Amino acid sequence: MYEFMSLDGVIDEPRWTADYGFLPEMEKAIGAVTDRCRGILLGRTTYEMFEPAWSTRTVEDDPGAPFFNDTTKYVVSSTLTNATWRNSKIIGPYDPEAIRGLKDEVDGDIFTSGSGTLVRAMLADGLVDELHLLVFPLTRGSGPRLFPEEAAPGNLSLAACESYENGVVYLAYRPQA
Amino acid sequence: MRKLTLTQFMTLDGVVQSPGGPDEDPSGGFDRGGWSFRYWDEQKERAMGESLSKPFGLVLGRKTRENDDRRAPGARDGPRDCGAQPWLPAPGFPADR
Repeated sequence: MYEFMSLDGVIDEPRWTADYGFLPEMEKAIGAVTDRCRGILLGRTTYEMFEPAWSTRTVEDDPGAPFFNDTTKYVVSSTLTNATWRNSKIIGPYDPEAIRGLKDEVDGDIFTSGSGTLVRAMLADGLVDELHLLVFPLTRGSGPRLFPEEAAPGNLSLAACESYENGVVYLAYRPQA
Repeated sequence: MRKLTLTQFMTLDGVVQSPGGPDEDPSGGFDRGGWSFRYWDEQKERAMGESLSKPFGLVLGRKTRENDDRRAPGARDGPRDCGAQPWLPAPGFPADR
């Protein structure tokens, strides 16, 4: 799971990251994650934002384009019936068993980004094995949070911690059982 | 003009309540106080020591001040203990003296 997050924990549509630029070190950190992923799991809203953003881009435009276009996207949605982005499958409404099945089935790790509703549900159900967070040096005040008030408390272990000259901090965590 | 610097213990989800013990601040029914204990180590102690190594004044809210008094009576009473040198009168707030 990979998220852009404000210091106060908000993960809304991260237009606010544009001011900070995306440094090569940040690309390297995300690349290390996407390199071992063979599936992409998205909520409907993020899927619908990613499709127009990525489907027309090529590797010349963005080094991340082949990953997002060529990897199979699994879309959690109870309303979407037709996925038009190539290599996409709609897997129906959120079902923890279906996600577990996907983790068994995909030959590699599964990448999730954005998808706040889905990610909060998967965190609550203990389905997320790694959290990769880029924490930006700003507060958003209100907005959807990665860890909502009603979420159960839990312990995590730190797997990576890097800071960049634009003030962004990359934190990787693994939930502890 | 002096700088006011904020030092807080915070969980990943932004909670700052009662890091130092279950009885520190159970207000609002918070029953998970003392969450910072298990992470205390020499590195953290050194970082805290560095941040407290220069003379400083202290501005505290009432609850934190009362809690400090209860847990470590006299700890904030003078420069000897933590380098504190009161310079900042804060009417309405218990500063360190």
